[in-house]
Amino acid sequence: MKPSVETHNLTVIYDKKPAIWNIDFTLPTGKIIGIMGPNGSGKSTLLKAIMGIIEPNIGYSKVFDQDLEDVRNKVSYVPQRQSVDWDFPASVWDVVAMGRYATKGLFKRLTKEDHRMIEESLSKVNMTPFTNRQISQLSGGQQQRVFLARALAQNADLYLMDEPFVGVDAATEQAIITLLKSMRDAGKTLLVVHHDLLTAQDYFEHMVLLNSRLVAEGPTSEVFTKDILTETYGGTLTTLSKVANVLQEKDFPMRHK
Amino acid sequence: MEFLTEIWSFFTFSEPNVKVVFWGSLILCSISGLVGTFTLLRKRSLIGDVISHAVLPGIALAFIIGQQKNPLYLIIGATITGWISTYLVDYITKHSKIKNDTAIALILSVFFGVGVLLLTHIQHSGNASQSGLDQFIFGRASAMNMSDVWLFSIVGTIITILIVIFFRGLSLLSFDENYSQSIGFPNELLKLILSITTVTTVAMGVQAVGVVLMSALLITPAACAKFWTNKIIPMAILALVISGASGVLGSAISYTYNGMPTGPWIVVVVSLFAFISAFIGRKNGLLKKYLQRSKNNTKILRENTIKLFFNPKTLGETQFSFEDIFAKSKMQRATLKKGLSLLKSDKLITTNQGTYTTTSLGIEEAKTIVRKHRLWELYISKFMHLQPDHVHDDAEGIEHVITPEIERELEKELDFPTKDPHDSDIPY
Amino acid sequence: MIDFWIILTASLVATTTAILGCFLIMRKMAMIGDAISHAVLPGIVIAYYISHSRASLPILVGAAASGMVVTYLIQFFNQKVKLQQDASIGISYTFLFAIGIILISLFSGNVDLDQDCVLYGEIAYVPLDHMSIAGHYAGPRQVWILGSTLIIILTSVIIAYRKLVLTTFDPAFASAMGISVVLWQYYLMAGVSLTTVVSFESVGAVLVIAFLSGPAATAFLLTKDFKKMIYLAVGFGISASILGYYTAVWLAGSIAGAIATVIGLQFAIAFIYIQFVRKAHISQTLENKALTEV
Repeated sequence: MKPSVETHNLTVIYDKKPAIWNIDFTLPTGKIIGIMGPNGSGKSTLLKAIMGIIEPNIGYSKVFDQDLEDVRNKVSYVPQRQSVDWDFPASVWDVVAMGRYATKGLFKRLTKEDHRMIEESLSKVNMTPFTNRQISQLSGGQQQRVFLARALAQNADLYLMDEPFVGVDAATEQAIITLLKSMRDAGKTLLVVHHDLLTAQDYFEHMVLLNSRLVAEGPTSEVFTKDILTETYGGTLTTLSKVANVLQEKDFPMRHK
Repeated sequence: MEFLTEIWSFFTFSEPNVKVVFWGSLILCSISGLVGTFTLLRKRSLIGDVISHAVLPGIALAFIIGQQKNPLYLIIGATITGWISTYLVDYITKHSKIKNDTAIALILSVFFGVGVLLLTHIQHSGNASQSGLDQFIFGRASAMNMSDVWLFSIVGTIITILIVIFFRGLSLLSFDENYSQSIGFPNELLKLILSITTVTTVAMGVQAVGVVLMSALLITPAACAKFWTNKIIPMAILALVISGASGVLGSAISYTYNGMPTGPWIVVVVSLFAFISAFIGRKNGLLKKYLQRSKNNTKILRENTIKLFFNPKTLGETQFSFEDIFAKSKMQRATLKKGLSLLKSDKLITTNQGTYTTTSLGIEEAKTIVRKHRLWELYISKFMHLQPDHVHDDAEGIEHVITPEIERELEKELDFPTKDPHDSDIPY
Repeated sequence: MIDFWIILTASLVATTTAILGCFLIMRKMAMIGDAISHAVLPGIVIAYYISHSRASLPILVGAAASGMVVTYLIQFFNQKVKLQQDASIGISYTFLFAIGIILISLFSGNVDLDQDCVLYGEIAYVPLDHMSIAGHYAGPRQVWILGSTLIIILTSVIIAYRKLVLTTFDPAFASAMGISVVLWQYYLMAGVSLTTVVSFESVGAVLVIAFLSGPAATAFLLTKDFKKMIYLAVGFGISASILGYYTAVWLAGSIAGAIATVIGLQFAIAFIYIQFVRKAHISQTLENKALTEV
């Protein structure tokens, strides 16, 4: 069975201090996978490294057993909501249409089929009445749904989402997780960075637990245990932090060539 | 040579006007350095830029209304428009979707444009004393007179006293505004004091440096000081001294070359101070960084070379010829030669007719390095859940970083292990 | 006739800067224009001095060289010695600008530049410097240069429109799509540099910033559609050029200064309109909506 995402020794260093160290895992397809860990544990960094937004210092990742470049049209990225300026003069429709640019490139006009897909995406997230609304007039939950609709419009096989449930009302959260489950049933793979332990067991069948380094990865039933959670959330490895500090202070190179 | 005699004549006050220029630039620039420290710490260098450009219309208006080049009126006019500009930037940012940097660019250029329009209008209406207003664009310290200097001294003293009195509050505000608020410090008052002192400093300082370059005088001295200290009091004092010195030197140079505006020379001098500090400064200075790197590289080379002498069977003395040890290593010939000479001077090996033998010191050192390597391999394979074949490369790099303290911690956390992930012995 | 040429020159600058400015302000890059326009000065002065002419190519090369120096300096301070970004930019461009002014003073006999005019230009002299094609009067040289620049910028913006919009609105998403965010960032900086340099003679360093930020900001206040914002910005820029010119004639002052003043007034009027008139309308609309929404 082809894996969805694989990483090998993935290490990203910010200002001489590793944000993620030596991350090694292989994830299955067709599941909703949660990426969890305390604040600053590198969850967003991990997603960005997989998407090629950040270059890893050491190691690499593969998507569907290939380089990301070769399968970009199969992968959709939903960034954190605050990464975007919602005052930008654009309507809901404009933003969802961006999802079609991936296949249209610079010039090709949007076809009837494109329009249909955009409308369908909007309807799946229940945003059709807001189609022409300016994005600055949306609530947090509505903004998240617009992002989701854009991702849907891409019609990808793998979806990477960074904290989609932050600042979102309960009804929207319900609607989103229902949508994600139906996407999973249709064979899509979803990789979701999440922050809330209480809902994690319900939402995810497979999990990656991160605390700058990989603590555990596997089916939820196996990794959602007291010991592993304590290791994930119980503070950083002190020795690891000390080594990181020496690296930074003394300006040592991370790998000796 | 003639340049030197001219500069010398400046500093010996051989002409009466020189005294004025000297003191005027010294006072104006020193105050800018002091006030600029807070501007820099609060990351508001752009606001400094706005104020500097915005004083121009105030100066022009003061002239139009007062019909003369009275320094007090001009400073008041400058302070008013300078003040309005900061207020407008904040107001626009707060009450519309316009972002802060856009508001800054807009206010800065529009106010400057209004100033230019008024200035050129004044020039074309043939008013006799107006020609002096040009100096505010790039600064002309030589146009100052004694009463100007008295005014600067008085205002400058007031500003300095204010800053000294409120120093603690201003420092905390610059460092952590939210915390300062939470402990009940009068943030609004402190911000007001900073605003007023900054605007007034700029309003006066443009006489020496001019409108366009004034912002440099707020930022650069403080940035320069940052390369020498992390503590705020020395930083403020150093910024004051550096900018004062730049003011004097810059004025001296522009005085020597008649017809040159002062502002650019002062900025060039203070920028050079900043460049030099960036190289030799004690905090983040480039030189220090290179020295540290070189020290690191020496350590790494020494340890990698002695590692080659490690004897896994006897843990004792080993002996190699150059070719043998070269075959064992992955280094270039020249690098290995360098490493071996390092070991020799550190008395970790002895040489005898082409063979290299470890000393007892060398044996210990080799054991230590291998031990650190294997401890780290064990640590990351255990705590990072890595496969044994992934841990070696990591340890190759990290083994040099592990201090004795970290080593002891590793031993404790791993419970004094005897074998590494490849099942080799860990030498103690 | 002279009126026409001057207004045309200003309008050409206004149009190019309005288009670029819309992207700049959405990317929070408004002050980069300020830094660039100051930093290119020494390169321009040296180019003037070496080539003894006002030909455009050496000027562009000089400006590009200057631009590269300032970029290197900013990187040096920000990345190599870890100085905060705003200070790194501030130190670097003021230093270069100061050198530029000193060079103008030093070369004052040999270089046809005036210190004050690099700040606010000499657009009034533009019509005097004209080109001839096959012996016929072909209009001022500046008009040709600015016109060509406008065509270059306009064409490239139209071609790359989607990428520019996407990298402006959501760089993370764009990057995830495989679009090089860095490339389009450099494109905009190059566009601003080019525009700044060719506008030097007519409008000067500081006032080009008014052109870059003002009309775009005014348009941003008034519309919710990015395309409309660009059209509006161009409209505001051109109208400011016309009004500014006649104001300058009336006050016998700097034309560029007058145009900047009008740009400021346009913004002020739009701002006041939004604050008081629109807000009243919106709260009324919200009230009505609340009654009908579920």
